[in-house]
Amino acid sequence: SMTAIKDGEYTATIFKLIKECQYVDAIQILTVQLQKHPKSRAALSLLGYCYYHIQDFSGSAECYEQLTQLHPEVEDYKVYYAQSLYKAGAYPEATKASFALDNTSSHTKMLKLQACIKYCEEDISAAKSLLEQLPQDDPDYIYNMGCLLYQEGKYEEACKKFTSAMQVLGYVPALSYNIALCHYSLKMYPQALKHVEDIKNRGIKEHPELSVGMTSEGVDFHSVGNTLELQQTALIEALNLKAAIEYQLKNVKTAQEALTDMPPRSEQELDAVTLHNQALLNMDSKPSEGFEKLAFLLQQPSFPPVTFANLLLLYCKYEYFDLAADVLAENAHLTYKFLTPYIYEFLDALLMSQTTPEEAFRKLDDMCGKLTEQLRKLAKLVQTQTRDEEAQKKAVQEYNQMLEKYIVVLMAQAKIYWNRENYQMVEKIFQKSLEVWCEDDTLRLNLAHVLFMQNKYKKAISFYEPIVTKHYDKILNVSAVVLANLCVSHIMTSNNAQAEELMKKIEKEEEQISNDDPNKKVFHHCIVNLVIGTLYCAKGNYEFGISRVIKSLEPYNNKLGTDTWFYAKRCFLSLLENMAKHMVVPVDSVIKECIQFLEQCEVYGKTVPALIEHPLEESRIHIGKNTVAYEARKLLSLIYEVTCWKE
Amino acid sequence: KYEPLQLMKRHIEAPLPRLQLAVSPPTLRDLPPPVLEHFDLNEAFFSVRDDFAQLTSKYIYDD
Repeated sequence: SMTAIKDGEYTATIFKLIKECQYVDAIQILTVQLQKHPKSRAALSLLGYCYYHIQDFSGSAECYEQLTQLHPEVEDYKVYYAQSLYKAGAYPEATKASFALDNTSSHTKMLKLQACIKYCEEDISAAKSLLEQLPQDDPDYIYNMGCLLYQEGKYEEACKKFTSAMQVLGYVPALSYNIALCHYSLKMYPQALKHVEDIKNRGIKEHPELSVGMTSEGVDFHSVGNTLELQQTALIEALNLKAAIEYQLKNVKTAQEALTDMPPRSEQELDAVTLHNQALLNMDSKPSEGFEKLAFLLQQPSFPPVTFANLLLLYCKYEYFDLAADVLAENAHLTYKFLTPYIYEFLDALLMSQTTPEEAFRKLDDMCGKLTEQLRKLAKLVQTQTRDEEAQKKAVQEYNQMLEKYIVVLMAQAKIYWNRENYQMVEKIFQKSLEVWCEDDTLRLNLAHVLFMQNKYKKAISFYEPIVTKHYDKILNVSAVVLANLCVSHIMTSNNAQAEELMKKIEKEEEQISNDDPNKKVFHHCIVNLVIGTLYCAKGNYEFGISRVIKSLEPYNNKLGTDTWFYAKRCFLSLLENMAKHMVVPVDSVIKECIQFLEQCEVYGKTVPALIEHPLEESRIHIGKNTVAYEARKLLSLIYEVTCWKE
Repeated sequence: KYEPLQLMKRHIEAPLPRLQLAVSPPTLRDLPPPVLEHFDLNEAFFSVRDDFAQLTSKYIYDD
């Protein structure tokens, strides 16, 4: 084993391990030696060094504490002791230890360390007054002042400080990261990304052992651990920032890649920022894990400030309103610190809409009023600042963000009436807003839906059609629901030719896609057909409707999915209901067709879930019951029962 | 819940406020990490039992 070292080989072995950054192996040998020689300065000093490098700061603090007692004459040990305590997050102990540095040789170090501690304790003014005692030409002074300015929200000034610190200190990855962060906070994304790419490229070139980007390329790597070397590359911070920028720009896939590009670490080794971002970016594929991680983070003494709002909003997205209300009530002390007034008011109203919708509607109306006023001001700003291109660009950006906030509130308001199926009122709310904010796609889309629900097909077409026309070259980018509703609207207004033309266009594009990539699943054509089939069933023409439904799902191995099964089964249930009431009596050939189809669903639907379960559901549906095969079998038995069919 | 066959899922696009990814705040510059001290570990970790062995062998050969 590694611990069996022959006498005379210790020096060579251990310094070689340290040189190759094999700190864990070195620690193993040194620990054994420390047991044999409990006061060995060499063992303690090297152990302290190794612990520090794997960022086990309580380990290094212990070593340096002993060294300060055994060798009080060595000033450095006192520095390392206080510094290790600080890095371990033991701020009161670190402050106490820092007083031992109050002498001429270490005074500057003491000031710097105490400033760091105050900064981490969020006592920015104390940190500032400590830093102001430093010599003004100390590069750390400029660097640290930049951090303080950033904390005060003065991003432009902070950026200048970091840039001039870089001129003195040369390239420091952490400084490059800080500059990127300032650009990010100023919403100057291209500039921020440029610095991020710098950090990444240097990391790849100078530290090939950190395997940057290898996981994204599908290579499985062992953890590189949280070493000081990794920290000094600023790779983790930079790649998290890249993810945040891409997420802002709605490039979710690129954001996910930024996370997998990181040097590999095991889950227990992840820092809070990375853990949080992993949870958020994988919410669609792994929602229950995501909720678990976010709730875990909220229990930690320090967590990324955005965690609180994100967890609450996600609970609402998945309609766990009770959980959201509980978390909000249990953490009232976090509300003021971590929620913007906008988010707080919105969440408050949204949760209230579950119990007292009238009151919620009134609150949302207040919010809409305030936001409308701000929107008008911004619109004016956009119009007046036509000379300064940069300023106008910024005003447009702010206007769009405000509009997004407004739409969120408006839709929550509309949803209160939508849930009560009061579509007239919903239409009224949308119409009124559309007069002012006619450019917004979400607004136009929802107005189209609400017109459709009221059978106002002609008007619905006038809102659906521009959306489809806008994406005519890539029609599959339009959601299947929109395409289906447009087709139905055409049919209902006796424009079958136009519906057919649209269907052909969809079919053609799908063929193109499956030629390019035979494994890619596309459901648009199928869903549009299912909806049209549903239309005929709803009108009582089951023979035509049902066979269209059945046809649309061919070939079953490709088209049978959770969504498509949802549309299909509703038609069968409706048919069965009307057969049971003797409203319709389909000819034998149709029944036969149905039976054959459902038998195929039993074969191909064994692994297709019948519905997507909510991620936090306590009582899971039996795994065998949540399949298309199971539900198809049930429908089959109902058909046999209703028709008294004999094979 | 029972309802007659409808054309679409009762569907409204009600977006929520945008979620935000976390970023690390800037941190003050750390003091330089501990310096690697050099020691003669062969001497420092010399084991006592080996010491005896060496002594005895010394006597044996000196005799």
